[in-house]
Amino acid sequence: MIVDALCKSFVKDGTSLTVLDKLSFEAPVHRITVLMGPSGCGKTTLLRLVGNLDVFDSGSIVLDEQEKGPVAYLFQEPRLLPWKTVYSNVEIVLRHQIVSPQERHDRTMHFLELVDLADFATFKPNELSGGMRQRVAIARAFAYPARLMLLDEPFQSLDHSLRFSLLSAFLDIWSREKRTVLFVTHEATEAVLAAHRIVLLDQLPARVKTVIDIDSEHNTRKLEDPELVAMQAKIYSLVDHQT
Amino acid sequence: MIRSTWATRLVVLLSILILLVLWHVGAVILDANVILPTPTKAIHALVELVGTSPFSLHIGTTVLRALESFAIISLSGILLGILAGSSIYIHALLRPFLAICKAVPVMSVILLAFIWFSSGTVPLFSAFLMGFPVMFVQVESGVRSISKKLDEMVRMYALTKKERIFHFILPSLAPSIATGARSSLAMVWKVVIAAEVLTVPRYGVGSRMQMAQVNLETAEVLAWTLIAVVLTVAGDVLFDAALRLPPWISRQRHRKIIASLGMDGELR
Repeated sequence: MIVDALCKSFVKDGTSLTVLDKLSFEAPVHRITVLMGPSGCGKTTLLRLVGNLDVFDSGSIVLDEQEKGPVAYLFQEPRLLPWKTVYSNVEIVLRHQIVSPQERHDRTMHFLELVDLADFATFKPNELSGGMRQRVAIARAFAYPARLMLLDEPFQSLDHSLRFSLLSAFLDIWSREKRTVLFVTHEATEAVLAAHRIVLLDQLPARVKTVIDIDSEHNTRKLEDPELVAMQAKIYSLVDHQT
Repeated sequence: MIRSTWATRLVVLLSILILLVLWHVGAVILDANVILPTPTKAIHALVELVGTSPFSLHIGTTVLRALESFAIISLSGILLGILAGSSIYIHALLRPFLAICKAVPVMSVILLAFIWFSSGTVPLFSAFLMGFPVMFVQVESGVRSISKKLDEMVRMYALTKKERIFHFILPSLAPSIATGARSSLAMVWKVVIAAEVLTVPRYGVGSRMQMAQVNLETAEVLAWTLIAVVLTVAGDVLFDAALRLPPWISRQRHRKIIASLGMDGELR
């Protein structure tokens, strides 16, 4: 995906606020690109533009042939339908994507198994813990036959250990069905564990400050690895300078 | 909802008993059948009424009127509530009408309606004007409180219009619709019977109440009142039973799907 000279401003109470001003970067196909930057720098706006939830003023977002089609979105909250079971919450988004009920059922159960929730298929969201609910949302996002996946700080509200177990669940499923992922996070540790490319953004209006590429495979990455430790320190110093 | 246990049921029973005792003591002290007959006399009158020939016709007509106006209120309240909840212009358009409905006394509605319509139509019309705002306001506020975040999710995952209505919008509105329906149903009984009392159509609980009052048959007035109470309570009970139906159906359907696809796991 190539984002080129993207501009977006919002008008509020008569004054115009420019959120994105000629933002350009490239997110490699079938790779995970992490977007980092100070809060309120327009990362969520960018995701909403890519996901067609909002319209940009000028510039372009060019998708690769392999990225065109449905888009899956993982929000800060699970956003499950409270009156539906875990199973139905995943199955409903497949209804008009997959016609065969058997195939739909298999796919739903497959991804519920991957997030370790097959036994909870008939539970309602309010009977699950916060981490389990977010795992349902992960299963739903992956079950949805999307070519492009947008993650907006999906692990933000969870505690430390849960955060990493969900991240590793996410990376595990991703390695089986690769898609282009745009991943917004505040956590440098999440970034160095997940990213193939880290795009650091500047203060409002968002501009690209630095791009860091990480070539190693996910399963070889260890947080105590000196290279990754150094990279985290670098990210923190760059983000710190801005605030 | 508060769960009833055997202990709370006992208290309810006790409370009914106290009311009956108070009624009885009052009647004995007053010692005047025209003013307040004893509960036993009222029950006697009730038993006698059940024997008279167009008894079921009177009740049936009143029930039909109540259900008819309830159906009209529900349909129009839900439809216009959804429209007004989604458009500020429709909301503004309906505001004066709603303000009038809320402010005009029930009795003037009934009296005016009696000038305009036949006596059988008056209960329907009056019940609609009184019950509609209740349903409408509930549904409208329900629409306004539909979760924006879930709406965004539903749009993001490109659910079809039909899926959106049946799996997102209607379930979101269900609690408001249930509250609106419960309150408007309770109101409908009272207004229908009040309108029957004032306009005296050929058949109807209210008409009989009025006739009994004119003849100073206080026991019969009380008997008809008891019938009205029973009708309202029965309506409430049936309504609550109906509310449990959709979750039950969806559970059955879910169970069937899971069984047909060979998935194990107990359904909760």
